[in-house]
Amino acid sequence: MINFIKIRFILTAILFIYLLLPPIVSAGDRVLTDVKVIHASTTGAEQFDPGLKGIIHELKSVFKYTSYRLLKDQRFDLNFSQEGLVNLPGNRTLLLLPSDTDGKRIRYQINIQKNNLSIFQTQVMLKNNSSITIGGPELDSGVLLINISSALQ
Amino acid sequence: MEKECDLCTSEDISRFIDGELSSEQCRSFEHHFSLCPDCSHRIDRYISLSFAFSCHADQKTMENHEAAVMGHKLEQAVLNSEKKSAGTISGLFGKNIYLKLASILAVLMIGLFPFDEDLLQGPSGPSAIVNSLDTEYASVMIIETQIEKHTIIWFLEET
Amino acid sequence: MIVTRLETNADTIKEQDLVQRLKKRQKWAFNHLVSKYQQRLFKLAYGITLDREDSLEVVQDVFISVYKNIQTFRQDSSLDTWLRKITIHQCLNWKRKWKRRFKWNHKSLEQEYDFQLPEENTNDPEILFWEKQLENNLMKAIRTLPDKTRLVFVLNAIEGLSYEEIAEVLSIKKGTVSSRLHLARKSLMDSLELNEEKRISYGKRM
Repeated sequence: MINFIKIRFILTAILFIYLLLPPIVSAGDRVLTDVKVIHASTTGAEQFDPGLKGIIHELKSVFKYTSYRLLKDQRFDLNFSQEGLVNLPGNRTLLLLPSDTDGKRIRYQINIQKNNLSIFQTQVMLKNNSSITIGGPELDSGVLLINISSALQ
Repeated sequence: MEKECDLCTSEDISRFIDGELSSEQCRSFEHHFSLCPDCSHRIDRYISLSFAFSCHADQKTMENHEAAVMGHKLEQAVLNSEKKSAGTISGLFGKNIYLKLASILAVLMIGLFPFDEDLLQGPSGPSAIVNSLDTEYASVMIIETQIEKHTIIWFLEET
Repeated sequence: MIVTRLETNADTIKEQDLVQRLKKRQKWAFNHLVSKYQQRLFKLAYGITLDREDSLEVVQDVFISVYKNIQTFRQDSSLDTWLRKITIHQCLNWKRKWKRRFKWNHKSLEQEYDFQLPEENTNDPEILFWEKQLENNLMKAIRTLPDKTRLVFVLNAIEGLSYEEIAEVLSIKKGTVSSRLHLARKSLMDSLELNEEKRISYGKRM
């Protein structure tokens, strides 16, 4: 009898601890990923697309470019281990793969290809509701900037 | 500022030091320099400038570990170059994604204001932490903006 | 004289042999090239960039470039000259690539004025004072020289090249080498002596 109570107590304690643990990623968790493809250059008047309002200040604090045009804004609702693909100008491709999260940051594999050959790849821990910018393949007297932001669902 | 001599210019002195004057000019200047303290002084200064700079550069040798790291990176670059010319594509993210490291120049803080270390110690950290990089090209920079700590990765694509 | 000529020929043959083997992509030839030239090219790159980290990257880029482009080396100049040209090009290109895009001035990770002259046995106060001045201000002054001027000064001071050799490497006239080198020396000397005057005037006021 005492052993039975002990076992029930231990099982209850384990269940209680499990419920208190931080959420573990399950196969169903998703991440909303937004990719902005930007053309930055010094030709033309000083201007930026309204869609870049959230990041333009950071970009301008770093770069000398005067013109920032939003070429593409693509959104993905991805499961973990599901790949997102963005076609970029100049026969380039961006591949994104969120793999897991600790609740605060999301691990992404990011690969940029040109003519189907990998030219750049990185693994980053991207803060939830934050973004990273990768640049800068050359394009038309300017460069491509790729801003990737994420939000856990 | 030192005044220039009436008989020769500072460029004459510069050329004299480098042995770029004719033997006749050399003979004539040598006699003058033995009598003119200004020119003699200028010769000493010019020579010591080159000597001092050369000594400073001499001390900036590559360390053994730096040479070893460079040797490893060159090996990888040579392998990649051979792979490329052989036309093989080793998978979506490359065979040795974590092994090849492009050179990362530095993590530089960008701002309009002088670098302030206190600002870096914020609790939120950078927008992205870079775990690994893999690229064909040596020129990669990782930048974090000063206020928002926005992470930027910059690579120079080979033309 | 004969011995000298023979040695020169031997060096040329050795270099030709090395180049041929590099063109055949023989790995040991590439390793030999790297171990023979890495310190020299690093010193040259440092003289131009004045930055240790940049110089390491430049030297690496130079060897990668040599590996990729050795087939285009026609041996109309020596291997030394070719490597020098590539190094200079990489140094200037490196700066240009970053300066064009970014707003800040790259601050070197190393201490800028970690400068020590070799020890000399002298108690002459004027010489000691002058050396100290050099120690404090020379590198600062060198950074202010325009790239083209500093380049000529570096090739002369670090590589010990003659005007003709510098002209060949940079594809400029000998007269231009002379005037730029003179300008570099004069600017540096004026800059150092201006600091000396300031120091003296400050000392008088104290």
